[in-house]
Formats: sequence, C-alpha cells, structure tokens
Amino acid sequence: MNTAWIGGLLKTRGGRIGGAIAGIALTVALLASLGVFMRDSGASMTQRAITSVPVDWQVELVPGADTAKVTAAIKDAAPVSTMVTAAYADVAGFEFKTDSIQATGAGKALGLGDGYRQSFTRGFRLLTGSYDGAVLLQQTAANLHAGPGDSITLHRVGQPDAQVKVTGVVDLTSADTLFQAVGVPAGAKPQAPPDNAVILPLAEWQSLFGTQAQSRPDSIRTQLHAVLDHSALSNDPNAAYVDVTGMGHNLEARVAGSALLANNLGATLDAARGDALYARVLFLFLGAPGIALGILLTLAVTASGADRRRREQALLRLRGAPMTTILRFAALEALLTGLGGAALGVVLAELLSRLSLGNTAFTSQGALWLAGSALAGILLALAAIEVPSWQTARTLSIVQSRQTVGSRAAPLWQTLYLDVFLLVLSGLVFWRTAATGYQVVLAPEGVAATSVDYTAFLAPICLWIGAGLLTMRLSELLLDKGRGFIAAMIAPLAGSLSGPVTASLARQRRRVAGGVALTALAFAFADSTAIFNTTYQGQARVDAELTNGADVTVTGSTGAPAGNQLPQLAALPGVANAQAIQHRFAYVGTDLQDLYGIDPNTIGKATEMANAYFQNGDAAATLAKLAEMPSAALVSDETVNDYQLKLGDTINLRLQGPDHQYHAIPFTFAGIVGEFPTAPRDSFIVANADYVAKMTAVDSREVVLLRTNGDMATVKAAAQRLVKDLPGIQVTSLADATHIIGSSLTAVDLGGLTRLELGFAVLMVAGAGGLVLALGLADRRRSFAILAALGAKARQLAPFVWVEGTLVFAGGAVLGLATGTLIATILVKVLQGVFDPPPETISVPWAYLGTAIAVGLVAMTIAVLNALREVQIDPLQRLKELQ
Amino acid sequence: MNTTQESQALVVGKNVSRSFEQGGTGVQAVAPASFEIAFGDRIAIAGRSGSGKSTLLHLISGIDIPSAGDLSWPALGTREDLRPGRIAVMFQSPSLLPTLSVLENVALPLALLGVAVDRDGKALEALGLFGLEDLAGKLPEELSGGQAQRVALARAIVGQPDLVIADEPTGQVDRATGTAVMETLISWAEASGAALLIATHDQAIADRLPHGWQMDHGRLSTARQEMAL
Ligand SMILES: Nc1ncnc2c1ncn2[C@@H]1O[C@H](COP(=O)(O)OP(=O)(O)OP(=O)(O)O)[C@@H](O)[C@H]1O
Ligand SMILES: [Mg+2]
Repeated sequence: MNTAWIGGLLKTRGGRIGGAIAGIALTVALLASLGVFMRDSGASMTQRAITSVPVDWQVELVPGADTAKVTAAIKDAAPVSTMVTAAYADVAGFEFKTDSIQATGAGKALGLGDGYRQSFTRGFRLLTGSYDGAVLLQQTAANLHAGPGDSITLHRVGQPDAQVKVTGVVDLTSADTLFQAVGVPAGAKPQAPPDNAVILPLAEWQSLFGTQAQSRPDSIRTQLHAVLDHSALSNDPNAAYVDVTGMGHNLEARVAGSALLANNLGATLDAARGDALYARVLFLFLGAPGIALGILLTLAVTASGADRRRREQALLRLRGAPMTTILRFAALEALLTGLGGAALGVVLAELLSRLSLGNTAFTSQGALWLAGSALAGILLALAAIEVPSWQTARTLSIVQSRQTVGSRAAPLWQTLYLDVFLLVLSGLVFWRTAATGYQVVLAPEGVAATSVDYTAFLAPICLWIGAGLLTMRLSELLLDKGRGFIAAMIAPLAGSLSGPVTASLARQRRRVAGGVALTALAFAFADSTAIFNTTYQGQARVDAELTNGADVTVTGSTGAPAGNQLPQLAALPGVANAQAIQHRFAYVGTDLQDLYGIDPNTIGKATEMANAYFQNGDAAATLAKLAEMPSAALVSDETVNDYQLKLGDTINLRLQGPDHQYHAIPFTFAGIVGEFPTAPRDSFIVANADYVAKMTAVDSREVVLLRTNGDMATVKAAAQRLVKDLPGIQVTSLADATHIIGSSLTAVDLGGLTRLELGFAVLMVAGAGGLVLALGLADRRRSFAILAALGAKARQLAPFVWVEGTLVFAGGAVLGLATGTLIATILVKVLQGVFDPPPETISVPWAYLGTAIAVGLVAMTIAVLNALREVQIDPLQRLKELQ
Repeated sequence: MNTTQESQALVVGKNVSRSFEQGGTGVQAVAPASFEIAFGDRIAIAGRSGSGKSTLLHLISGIDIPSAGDLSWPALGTREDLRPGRIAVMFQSPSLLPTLSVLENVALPLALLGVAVDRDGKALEALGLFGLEDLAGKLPEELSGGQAQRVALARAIVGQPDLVIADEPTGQVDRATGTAVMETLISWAEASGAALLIATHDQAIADRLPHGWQMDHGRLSTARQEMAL
C-alpha cells in the first residue's frame, strides 16, 4: 500500500515534490556551506595573525637575572621552537664624516644572536648590502648619507667613540615591536621606536658594548626572542588567544622578579579575535536571509499543493480512511522529500566546497555542520508537509476541506500591523546603534571575553521581514482596492476580459501577494548581498591601495629616486597613469616624520584620494587648498595637538639639503591628514612637491605610483626589470599589500562565500519568480480547461497568466531592489568597524543586478509560456480535467 | 440569429462515432450515429449511465472530435466558430470558475465574445430567469450543487446562442425544482428561437421536450421511445 502510494505520489505530484526537494536541497547546501566557510575563515584568520607576528614572545631579563633559569622557564611554560638572544644598547648619537659631517641624535644598537635572521624573517626588508656587519636603519642611512662600505662612528654612552663598518641598509617594518618597552602596563602610551639604529651581529655588539654594560647597566637591555610551536595552537582565534595568554601568565609566574614578557603573539591574536567575530557576524548576516528564503520557498512550494492535498484528504476521509492513515501518508511524503532534499543538499555543499575552497567539506568539524544541516532539511520537510496535513485533518470538516478559494479573513499579522511594527523597530534599533557609534563587536584588549551586539542586526532583519510583509499587504491592497486601476492598465492587452482577469486576481490576492513578497525578498537578498560585497571589495581595495600606495608602487630613495624612471615607467604596457611623489624625512621639533611631496592636481590619477583620508572629509577641497598655496602642509592630528596649531600657522620643518644637513623651511599648516597612500600609521606630513624641491634644492622624486589597466603582476614584473640596476629600489603591487595587511578583516577573502551567495541569490530569484508562479498556474489548470471549453481562445487566456506573471516579477523586483538597497546601506553602516577607512558610499554592482533581473524575467517568462502551453493541449485532456 | 439561413441545419452528423483507447482495450462510447438538429429543435437525450450521452454532447458542441464519421455545422460554420457564441454548453460536472463570483461567471461568455456594454445587466437578467439574482455576489464554493447547475445554465443562455446543450441540468435538484427549471429553459428557447439539446436520466424531464433521442451502450436512436427505467 505504501509503495503504491509513493508511486502514485510521484506520478501525480512529481513536479511539486521535485520543487520541495530542490528548495530543501538549496537550504541545506547553503547552511552547510556557511558552516564550512566559517570554519575555514576562522582557521585562515588565525593562520594569518600568527604568521604576521615578527616575534612571538620577547622576554626581557632583569639585570643580574640567571639567563639559563629563564630559558628553562620559557621552555617549561610553552612549546618553544626557537629562542635567540637580542641585546639593546643606547647610543648617544651616530656620526659620518666625509667632506662634511652628518650627525644624528640618540639611537640604539641592536645585537642579534646567531640564526636570528633565519628564525625571525618578518619585518626585515634589506634595501641594499648584506647582514654581515653593521646594518643601518633606512632613516639613519638617509640622515648620515651613509651606505655599505662606509665607516660610521657610534657615540657610546659613557665610553669612548667606536667605529663600525656599514654592510647594509634595512627597512625595519617591525621596529615598533622590536624596540618596544617590555613590561610597561597595558594602555600606557606606546613608545615610538628610535629614529636611528644600527643592527649588529651579537658577537660584534658584545665586543662594542660589553664594557658599557658594566659601567652603565641602565643603558643596556637583554632579551630572549622566542618562536612558539604554532602547530599546537587552536584554529579558532579566540581559543588560540586564550591558550597563548595562559602560557604567558604561566611564564610570568615562573620568572617573576627576573624577567618580563611582551606577549606579541597574544596581542595579535587578541586583535584577530575581534576581526574573527566580525567575520562570523558577516557570514551569518549575509547568509541568514538566504537560508530563510530557502525555507520560505520550500513552504511556498508545499503550500501551493495544499488545496490539492486538502481535496485528497477529504476524499480519503469520505472513503473512511482513519486519520492515522492520512497522517502516515503525509509523514511518508515528508520523509521522502526531506531525505531526498537533505542528500542532494549535502552533495551540493561538498561540490561547492571543492569548487570554491578547493577542499572537502568532510572534516570532523565540517561533517558536524553537514549532519546538522541535513537534519534541519528533514525537519523542514516535516514542518512543510506533515504539520499542515495534521492541521487540516484536525481543524477542517470534510465539507470545509473542499473549499479552494480559501478564507478571506485577514491573517493575524495584518490585523496586528506586524509589518509596520517591525519596520519601526528596525528604525529604532538602527537609530540606537548609530547613537553608540556603531560599536557592534567588542573584543576589549587584554580581556578574554568578547561580545557581539547582535541586537544591532535586528535593524536589517526586521527591515527584511517587515518589508516582505509590507510588500504582501500593499500587493493585496492593490489587487483588492486597486481593481479599477489594474483593469484600466491591462485593458489594452486583455480587452473585454480585463474585468474577469482582475476579479480573478483579486480573489487570489493572497497567493499572488505571497508570490510578489517572496520574489521581493529574493531580490532584496540578491541586491543587499551584492551591494555589500561590492562595497566591501571596493573598500578592501582602498585599504590595500592605502598600504601599497597604488596598483603598483616603485619605491626608491633620495640617492636612487624612482622618479628618474618616470617616463619609462609611464610608457610600460598596462600602465594607465604614473605619478612621481617625494618621500623625505622632516624634523618637526625633535620628532622625525615621513614627508610626502605630491602634485595635488594629478596624484588622484594614479591613486585613490578618499575623503576619509582627510579630517575635513573632503579630499577635493583639501587638495585644491594645497594647489592654491605652495607652502601648504597637511599634518597629523597628533602634531596639531602637540604644537597647538591653528589653520594658517607657520610651521618650520627641517629637511635635508644637497649638503645632507637639515635646514629649516617654513610651511603653512593647511589641514589635517589621517591616512595617505604609502604613509605609515603614525604621524607624517603631506606637502607640495614643487615647493619642497625648490626650498631644499633637491629635486628628486623617490616614489612612483602606477595605476594599471592591464594585469598588475605583468606591470610589476616589467617595472622590476626596468629598475633592477638601481640600488635598493622595491616594486610592490596591491596583491603584496593584501598579505601585509594581515588579519585586518577587509583582508579576509569573502570572495568564495559571496560568489556562492550571489549564485544562490540568483537561483532564489528564479525560484521565487518562476517556480511559485509555475506551481500556482498548475493549480489553475482546471480554470483554464473550463475557459477553453467555454470557447476562450489562446490569446484570451494569455492575459490571465501574463498579468499575474508581470505583477509578481515587476512588483517583486521593484520593491525587492528598493528594500535590498536600504538593507545594504544599513549593513554597511552597522558593520562600519569592518571597514578601515569606512566607505563613502555604497557601490552598486549593476552587472550583477542586471543579471539577476534578467534571470528573474526569463524564469517568469518560461513559467508563463509553460502555463500557456496548457491551452494547446487537445480537448480530450481538458475534458478529463473537467470530470 | 437570423443572420444565417434558417433553412440550413444547425448540426448534421453522418456515421459519427467516438471510441477511447485505454491500455489496449477500446471503449466505443458512441457507435456510428447519424442525426440532424435544426433551428428551434428541442431534443432530450435519455439513456443509462455510461451509455454515451455526455460523449455525444461533447462531439456536437465541438469540444471533442469524432473518431470517425462526418460532423458539420452548416448554419454555424467551422468548429472554431462554435464557441463562444453559437453553441453554449452546460457541463455535467461543476464548471464554474472558482475565482469568479456568480455574476462574473455568468457574464464570462459575453466578455469572451467581446461584448462591450452592459454585460452585468444581461448576466443579471439571465440569473433572474432562474430566480438567482440574490446569489450574484457569491462565490461558486458557497453554492449548493443545484444552485451551481442553474448558474451554469444561466451562463449557457446569456450569450443568446443558437444551440444550448445541457448535460443533466436537473441532476442535483428535486423533481419540482427540476420541472420549474425545464419550464424556464423551454420558454426562454421559445422566445429566442434557440435549439435545445438536453441529456437526462429523468423520463419526466425528457417527456417535456417534443423530440426524444435514446442512447443505449453507445448506440443512438433518434426515434421517440418510451423507456422503462
Ligand atoms: N475521456 C475518456 N476516456 C476513456 N473513456 C471515456 C472517456 N469519456 C468517457 N468514456 C467512456 O465512455 C463511455 C460513455 O461515457 P459518457 O460519459 O458519455 O456516459 P454518460 O451517458 O454521460 O453517463 P452518465 O449518465 O453517467 O453521465 C463510458 O463507458 C466511459 O467510461
Ligand atoms: Mg454524462
């Protein structure tokens, strides 16, 4: 009996069951994929955070401490893979004598033990020469105007001067970490790294500073730098953070009084935790509407068969079948659908995982997600099929269950104005979040607990649901009260049938409005995901461009300026624009800062000049001010505070002239700059290149920014070939920058996830528009048969279908796209913390939206044409329908 | 209806038959039959259940196509010209559009015909003939079986067709109501000059019409016979 029932089921309702299976499969696959992505992104963020740390642990020995004991304690506290000594000595000044004398202020001499360079590779960028002897910091080399082969003088503290031979120049990007003061309480003002330093092999350092250590122990620090065994760390950033912090505390307890710990790995993981939380929230909120849609779609498909099921149930009961039998049949149908959908969904998820992540979803953690998703799919099938059957069987009498046009009482949500309530709630939550400055993710530094203000996401969620319900209410209202209007609109198409067509639609307004709302939700999902993704990608690019300077950046020095090659670089194939800028160093008081000399009128052609870079939020106005006033200079907020500057004030900066001495040059304070392409995170200055060249009498442009319109890697390679003979010149591209940015969230590759989601969204648009329409139309075969028997011609039947199809598609598209754009705007605002700097506007991906609209249109057209094929079926078939 | 020559027959059938193939075994629902229907004819078709009445009506109305034989409508034109307009059918099974009200259902043939003015007035008038004005605003699912049948009858006559075909128009009502319905139909036909072709089990109903056809296991005899039920 059961097998016969299944056979009959598949024959009579194959399409609908197939639709339900497809809906469940989509839901399961999306849910499972989200889980797998979450697992993968967490792991890759932890990995990136770990590899971005220059030194995991810096353990500073208290003078007189027993090195062997501390070494043993470190090894006991944590799995250490490498440990090397690093020694620091204060130097009163550096000096280099040629025909003139260049001297610097105080600095440091850093001695690195054997194998240091091999174990700690991060943060060192050798510009020229080798690590064999004294290696100067880039700034120091520039100040002294010294290079490999030169002998420079170190003014030791309390000891006679010493000579060292320079073998190389290094850009020490991890100077902040290496020179940090270990043991200062968290939250203390971070110490700026020294402007001048030399790095020496430990043996040479000891021969130079051994005596200074005796006479002035306060000027000497000794540290042990350790790399921990990373394979032992968890893939989850939070768990890894808790582990590493725990080990740190353990060490501190063991060595209390004899050593201090700077837990750099812990601090980096601390920051990554917040990012990881953001990423999780992001995946959740980009994916949740998709899952909700999958569920709604499945429910819509099964609901479109509800009339038929009700009639069948009535028949079964008339024939005396007991309720348990009816319910058993329904359960069988649900199980069949659920198992089929879940199996298909798991296969789909595995396929997607292999395609977009390149590995299987079936890891221990992934398998759990897959199993959970499959179970959810089966439950969905039960909810969609078994529950309504049970309800029908319980609540309706046999006579009632024959009714097909259904009850006309307004549903509860309409009477309660739930849609309006949700929209107002969305607005209130958004307003509250805005008032707190969009503090959505809280991962306080140094505190193990993290928190996400999930309520902030009530804004987009309530908006999505509220807008969906409102769409339904408005559509119903239009179909009911706007009959005259619709009839007038379709009169050219439907002629004298516009009345019956409109009346028929009005009677089915709940079903049609449901279709419009579902289509609108699908469009809103596609639209908001796509807009958010495009904005995110654009911002990630801005972020990378900010770090790298431009698509491709050629970085030289004053001695070997990249600007000399500007015409050749500009002429490279694939280069759209090339701009040369100055990168010098300037003393602001005693503080040495980076100075960027630009051409304000043309720099925007090679790199993005975002409004967010400038404190007034207006890039165009700021650059115009620079162009107007040659002596204008933009400085950082900190400098303005330190020197109490007011707009128009003169600031004297000391820059190097051709004699390599620093000379005071007057600049006019014209604005505050927070970020600038290639500039460091701390204080720097932006000024007019022509003015700097004229006043310093040095007309070199150290850096060239290239905007590409061809392949970035090809341009980079070509530029590298062009400048390979110039000493110390570096060519970098955006792609390098995204790696350097490390665990900052915009560096997380959302690509795979969004590709997946955008694909799903298009499927949902097609499914909502087409499938629901197709199933609804199938339900009205009977009406079509009657109309045809009464003598309606094919062209007279067409309006019945086209009008509904057009309403569902156009109404859904218009309202959905409007809702989606609003949701994307809110999401971008709420997730502001993800972006650095925050985006100025949302970016709309027209091509994708065009595709989504086209796919929806095609799906609708196919559904309508398919329904109209019904008209061509021979009269016998129609008669059968009438029996 | 005087646009066509009244001298021509409405329907002419010569050796018309209809058989259904089902899983290899054929059922001959209508054996080769010859008949003619003229303007103003009033014909009752009687016969047992399954004897082929409905099948014959579908053939005559042009909805179904004969398996063999010639069927033509000399005064009405080709098969495509018959409905809506010249021939109207009231089906044995419920055939009201569930999403249209009673009034809209009755007015539907007028809309299909492209009638531009006063469709509702004409529909109300047709409903009025059967005393159904009060039901105008109701939906088909709110009607009793008998009411639905009468609404379908009103829909059949609203377009002033030349031939009204009704399949068991009184199948779901009591004898008295059935008689009244028939009276209405006959007087309407007399006034309009339309021909009537009505299938029924009920001999009393059949007796009210001047012509009686008989179906027996698919065989049609067009001579009046008293039959014992
Ligand atoms: N579409 C069809 N396919 C197969 N057989 C059919 C079809 N329609 C009718 N028949 C068969 O043709 C025969 C005549 O059926 P028909 O409906 O014409 O009888 P009827 O005289 O109208 O019966 P009733 O008085 O019960 O309405 C029956 O045996 C029936 O099974
Ligand atoms: Mg019959």
